Amino acid sequence: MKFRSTLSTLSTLSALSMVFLVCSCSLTYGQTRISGSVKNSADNKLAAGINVTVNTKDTGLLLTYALTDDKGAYQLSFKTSSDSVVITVSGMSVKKQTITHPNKSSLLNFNVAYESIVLKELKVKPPKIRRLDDTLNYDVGQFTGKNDRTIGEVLKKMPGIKVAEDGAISYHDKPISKFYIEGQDMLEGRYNIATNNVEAQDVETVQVLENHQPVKALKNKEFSDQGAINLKLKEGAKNVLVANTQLGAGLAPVLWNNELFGMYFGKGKQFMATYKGNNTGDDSATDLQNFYGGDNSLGFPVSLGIQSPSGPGVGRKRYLLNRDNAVSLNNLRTIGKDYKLTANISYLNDRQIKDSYSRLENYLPGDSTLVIEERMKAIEGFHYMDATVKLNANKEYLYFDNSVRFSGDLHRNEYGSVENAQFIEQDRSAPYFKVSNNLSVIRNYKKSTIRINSYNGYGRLDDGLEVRPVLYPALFSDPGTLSGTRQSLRQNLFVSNTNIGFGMQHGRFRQNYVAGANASLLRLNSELQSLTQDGTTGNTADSLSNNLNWDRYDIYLTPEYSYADKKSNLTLKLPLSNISQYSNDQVAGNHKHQARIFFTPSLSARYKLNLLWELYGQAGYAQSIDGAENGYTGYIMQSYRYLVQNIGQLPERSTQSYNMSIKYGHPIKMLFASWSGSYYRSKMNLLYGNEFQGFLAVRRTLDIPNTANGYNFSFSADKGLEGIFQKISLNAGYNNSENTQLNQTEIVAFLNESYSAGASINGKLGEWADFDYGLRYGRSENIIKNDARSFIPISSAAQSAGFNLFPVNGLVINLKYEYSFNSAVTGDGRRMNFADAGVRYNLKKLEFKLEYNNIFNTRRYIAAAYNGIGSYYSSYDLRPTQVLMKVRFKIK
Amino acid sequence: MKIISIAAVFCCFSICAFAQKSDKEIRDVVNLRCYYVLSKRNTTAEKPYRTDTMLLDVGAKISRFYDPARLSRDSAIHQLFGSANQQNIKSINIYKGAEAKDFSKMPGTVMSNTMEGESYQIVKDKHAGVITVFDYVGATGTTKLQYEDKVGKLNWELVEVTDTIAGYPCQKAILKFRGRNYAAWFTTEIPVSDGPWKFSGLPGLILKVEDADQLFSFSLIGLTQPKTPFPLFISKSDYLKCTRAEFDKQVMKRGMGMQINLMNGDMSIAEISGKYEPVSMELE
Repeated sequence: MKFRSTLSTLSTLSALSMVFLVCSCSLTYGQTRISGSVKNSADNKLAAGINVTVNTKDTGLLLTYALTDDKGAYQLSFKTSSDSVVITVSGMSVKKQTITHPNKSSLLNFNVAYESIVLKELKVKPPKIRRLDDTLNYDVGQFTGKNDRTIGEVLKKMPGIKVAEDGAISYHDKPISKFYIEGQDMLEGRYNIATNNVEAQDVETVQVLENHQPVKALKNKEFSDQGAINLKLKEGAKNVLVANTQLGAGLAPVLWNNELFGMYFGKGKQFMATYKGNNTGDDSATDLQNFYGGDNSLGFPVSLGIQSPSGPGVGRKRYLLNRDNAVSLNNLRTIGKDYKLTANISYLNDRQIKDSYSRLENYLPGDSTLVIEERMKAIEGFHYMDATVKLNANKEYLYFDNSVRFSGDLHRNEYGSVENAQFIEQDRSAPYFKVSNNLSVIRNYKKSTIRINSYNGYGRLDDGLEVRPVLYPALFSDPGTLSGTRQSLRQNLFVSNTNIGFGMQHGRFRQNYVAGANASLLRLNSELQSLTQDGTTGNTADSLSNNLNWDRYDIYLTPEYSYADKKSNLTLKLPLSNISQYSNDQVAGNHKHQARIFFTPSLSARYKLNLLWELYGQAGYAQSIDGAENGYTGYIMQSYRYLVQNIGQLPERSTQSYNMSIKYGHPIKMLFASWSGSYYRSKMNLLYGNEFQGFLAVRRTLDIPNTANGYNFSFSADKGLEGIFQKISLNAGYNNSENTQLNQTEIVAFLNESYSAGASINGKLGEWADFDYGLRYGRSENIIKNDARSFIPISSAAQSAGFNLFPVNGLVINLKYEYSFNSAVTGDGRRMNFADAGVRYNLKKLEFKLEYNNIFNTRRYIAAAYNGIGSYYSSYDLRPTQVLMKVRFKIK
Repeated sequence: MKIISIAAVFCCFSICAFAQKSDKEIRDVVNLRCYYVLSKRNTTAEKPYRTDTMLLDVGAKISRFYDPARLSRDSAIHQLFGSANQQNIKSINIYKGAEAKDFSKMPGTVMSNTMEGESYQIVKDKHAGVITVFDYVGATGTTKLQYEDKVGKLNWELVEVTDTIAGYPCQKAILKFRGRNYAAWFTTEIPVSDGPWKFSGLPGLILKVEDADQLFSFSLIGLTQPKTPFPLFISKSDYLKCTRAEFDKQVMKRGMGMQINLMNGDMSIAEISGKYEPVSMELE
């Protein structure tokens, strides 16, 4: 039975109700009329728009209600059998008043007090990923777990986005082209500074800008298949200085780990500063890595090195014996409307110790095997400095960019010792620096675009390697007892690359022409001398020295034709280049000039089937000729056991390559997948090999044309989920490569085949725990053609599991376990286990973190792998068990 | 003919772009923001064909009810025209009626479909007791209109049915309004006499309201009290004043909307095909 209490409207029923009221006054269940006004007690003013409600006393049911008019007056009339009613006065900015009043008509005035009421909020949950045109918006809050502090940790959980071990971010398996914060690229590629330091709680949204063309003047003219990332900060993190610090100490031995971070993001002004220092195995240099590729134009062709172990296949934190300090200062300022000035300065000093045992087995012709066993220890010192100042304007019709950069290490040194049959000491000092200027201008005129690019740089490397005792006594004829050898190598390099480009648009077709000239002028001086016991150097034989001027000039023209419509993109490049190399070997008195004309066409096509599917294909042909790195003719001792001399002929290579890929991306289903395959075939004119004299190797070159080829397939998929499992990733790959190598005097063809597969899952168990699990499997096999001996396939597997518990608010317990297996290892190292634990506790603005790493105290990492026609086994010393206490707090 | 229409389109846009600068006026500050889902269903279907998130921004004196996504889609179209100038537009193709094309799936397309989302903004002035509706005809907002809707005091009838919605205890009330019967649930715990669309007048916020045929339904999905109240803008006088009847006539002239694609300097404009047959909440 529904009871309906009718509300009387004064406008239509007032006359009637007056009559009714008069009649019913004397009745028992008559109409009650209560009227009055509501006043504000603070200012004594009449309050309008206030709710006045009448509820029955027994059932609490709403009988009637009224809103006060602009004179603060209200009128209520109702009918009820109960003897008293509850009258409530309420409003958004007044204190609620409730009184019990007898059920009889009366005049009732209220005085209310100001008070803003607080409602229980109802959070609107936006979709986790939202697409607006070419931009994907990831809602950071929904991807952030309780164990995640920095935005880098959250990025790893976002489907479609991949973060590699070193921090490199890729979207759809392609590295991102730009990393912006609030739409500005302040860090210029060193975005680990942001991902490792900016707190996830300060970021509102991570935006992926698909097919992002960072140069506005090329927008809608030049297609880019790379994505870019933009961090949109929360309002509270903008226009204020955000700063925090971390202090950490631990045992064994004495450990320290400190950090200081500050950032400011305001209109037209961005600033970020970091300091990191530790001896706990956290490589502070990872923050300073440039993922935009940096400056590769100034590469010294030859370098020396101490024989030092290559890193093992576990997380760097497990084996890095460091003592480092890194500082970075980054500043961006807009000048006027269009220009911005960016300055980035970073400095790193580090002392790393490496300790390992390795065993290299090389199958030699016949039935013999060469075994090189080395117990190696190395201490490397870095003092790396990098400073860049950049002025940039990015407008629709004009792009201007000029950057000046200095980088170098003026005290770089390495010391190493090797024990095999004897004790060998190596001492290297290799200070270097590079200065460069890069200018880029793009200007649009109606349908055409002109661009100018000019890079000029100078670099100098003073390399020196001393090895004791003398290992190649036959090379020297100096009198007396020799204590060692000294290799010195100085390179002065000047590089200038300038090109001018012109582009024209005809509807969907575009043609682009780039003409350029590159010059690379190298002065290389080297001497290999003996060291006598009193420290003096011996005579320099001509065959052991180089005094080389090596100048290379390239002139090239690159016509480029492209077609783009709504669904497809087609680009044909037809670069033609003329290369001239002039070498002047002043020791041998040789002048040489070599000229080549190279044609290196490529064709790439992309087709968007629909919003979800995309196809890509590419084919290309490339030609190259080496320079001074394989052109010097005097001996250079590149390491204690590797002596290199060239025959004077330069290696040339031509390669054809084909790539294909299919991509699928569904942001609403949070499913991203890609398939790709590639094939290459290279032709070389020279065949290289090492000739072993005991453990010492001398490089040999033969004038025998040879080929190498290979193909691979890969698949990867990412699925974002709601519920216990949040993200599942799968990947698989197959790789096949065939090579030819010179083995002593015999030519050997060998084939390597490898498979890999992996899966990872992360998820959460309600509010109290989250977890991740990863599995990796790989199998590799080497086959020497026409040889009865075969390598046993090596299988390796690794698993890792992490578990984070959140028992009470502010407390996080981390547990981590890693397992690895290598079938080529016998004994202890075949299966390796690592475990770490940690506790984090937040107390107001303080965060305490206790870390207990390498609980099982696993001291060595054993690896085995194939290396050309040999196999390689190594045991690398790891960091022992360590306990570390860290405190992090917000300064501002 | 094409040239004339292009010229007309550009003229209108330049007017819009110019007008936009002085378009807004701060009338109040928002101290309560309510998020409603509006679901619309056809009589023949079981499931709604369209759901949109609507916002109700409540200030001390006035409130504004609107669809932020639709307004931003339409303003993207404005901006595309605004940024377009002779330098970066090389050609314009217009596809109308029968030759209309669909390039919604192509990169570089912005579109506004008249059937997707709501273009109206409903501003209620509580003290003056006036509802003003701001709207425009055509996705590009070429004709901006406003009318005052004198709904008077809504004749709600309280019903003895209670429920809990979004954690708030609610009571039911019913209303016959312009040809449809509505049931609403409101809570006195949020003492704001307001609600979605043109509904208000109950002694608490309306958390849910739907018509008896369940063709239109508004449900509260979010509620925030901004810590620092932000301004409540309403559009100024460049909206042409008309009556509700005149506006309803204009609405029928609406097309299905348009898509604009700008790629490599080629602009393509296409009408979205289909006949615009809106189902109005107001039958009389």
